[in-house]
Amino acid sequence: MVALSFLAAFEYEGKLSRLSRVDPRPKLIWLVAAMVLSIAYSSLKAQLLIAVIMVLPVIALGGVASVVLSLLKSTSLLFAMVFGLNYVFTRDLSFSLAMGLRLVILVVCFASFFRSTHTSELSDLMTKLRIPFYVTFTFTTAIRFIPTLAMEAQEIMDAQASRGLELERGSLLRRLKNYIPLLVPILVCAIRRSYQLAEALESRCFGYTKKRTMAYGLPPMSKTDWMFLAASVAQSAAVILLASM
Amino acid sequence: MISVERVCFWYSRGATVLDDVSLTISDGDVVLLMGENGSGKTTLAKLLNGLLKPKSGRVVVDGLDTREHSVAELCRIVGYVPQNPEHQFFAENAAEEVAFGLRNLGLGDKEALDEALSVLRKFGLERYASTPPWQLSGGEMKRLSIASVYAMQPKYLILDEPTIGQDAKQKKALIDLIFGMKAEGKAVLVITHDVEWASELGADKVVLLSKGKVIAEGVPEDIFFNYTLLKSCNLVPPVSVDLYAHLSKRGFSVPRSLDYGVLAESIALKLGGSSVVSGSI
Repeated sequence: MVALSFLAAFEYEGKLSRLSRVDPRPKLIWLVAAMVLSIAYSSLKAQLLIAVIMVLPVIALGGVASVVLSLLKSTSLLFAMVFGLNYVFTRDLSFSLAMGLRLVILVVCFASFFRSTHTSELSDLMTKLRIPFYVTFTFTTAIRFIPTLAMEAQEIMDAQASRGLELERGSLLRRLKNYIPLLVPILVCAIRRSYQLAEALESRCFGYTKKRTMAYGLPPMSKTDWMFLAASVAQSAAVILLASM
Repeated sequence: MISVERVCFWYSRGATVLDDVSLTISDGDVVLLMGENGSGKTTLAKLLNGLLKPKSGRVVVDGLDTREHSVAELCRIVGYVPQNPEHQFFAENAAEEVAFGLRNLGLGDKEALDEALSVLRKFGLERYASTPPWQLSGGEMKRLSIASVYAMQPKYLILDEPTIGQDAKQKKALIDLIFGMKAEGKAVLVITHDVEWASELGADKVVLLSKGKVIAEGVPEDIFFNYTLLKSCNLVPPVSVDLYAHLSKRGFSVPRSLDYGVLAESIALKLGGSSVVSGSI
């Protein structure tokens, strides 16, 4: 059966690594920089530069090498698909590898960010960015529910496997059809859960006051945070410089 | 026979859930598996049909080591009804839902649907044959989830919290169903917190699980009359046991029985009343 253990790579790990002790603001800037550069450049050289200069040091700082490896292992089929499809349509090996690597970079960057940033930090960060509270709340709640939904999806897989469902059985079309008994209950349970959550929130007066007050916010950035920010800017500049050489 | 031999299990990033658990379920046995929340009951159930594989020790189902066989092979022998019925519904109506497992076993469309309708009838759900499963009430959903696994005629059936949302009539019908399976030589493992229903079930064996270990195993009378054991699993004794304890404390010598009828008859005789058939009112 398909295992959803890879979603654990996106779960907050607690204040265990040096990366998780960094303020979310410089981490967000690093994430956005790595993402924008990876999407802006389509050459293999640029993707390799981003991976080596921007991503690897953060993996080391986060101590997430083993998590990243298991994440890559469980999503390898997706990367293979991206590479394969690009190669089929372009016949350009270097470009296809770059596209595969781009996906790896994006997944690893998001995993490193979410693994090291608590949802309350995310919420504070978004509030600081003047994003409306209902958007902040919706976003952080969605993030917080990922492990719960993953667990529910695993239960659904177990329930269907117990009735003899084999995902890998039959032709390609058959295999795609085999996913229906998984996708329908996953979707229905997610929708039902969202309704239940909405009702639970409303019954506790969510949205009663338009202007919310916050007891705590993000603390001022420390020297380490500023160093991380400076390093991110320097890394981005180095990638731009080396990629255009 | 299902044999659980010194099984240990833990999830990828957590503490040990099952620690050196051994258990035997013989053909035709009705076994109650009870314990506090988080004691590992559902994990143990999932080990029996191969959904989870033991980290150490082994689970053998009719001579098949679950580590060497797929869930698809094992589900023909061990049926597992999950706690939350919504986790398995996907079909457009109840009949199709029941027919799903039968088709997976290789039955043709017509054959599977005919069998599904007959099983729905057995579970009193025939009027919902063309109703979407999500439109049923909580109790009916639970019955449909049991029906969809029962239809596959497994030799061993595992019911995870089957009484949730069931009214008294359906709880009684569940006992009849379990004993119907027992009469056919099939074994049923029931996971429940419903002590009152469990005491009425008349199981062959009760297994108490606490913090991942089997702390007691025995006939219902021995387990349910042991206050200390039940307390250690956050369970309260059934009313019949409490009644027996109160009567004994007041010098009334009554037989140790989980059957109210036996207690009532004994009291009636002591008070000079007449004897009635045990259990009847």
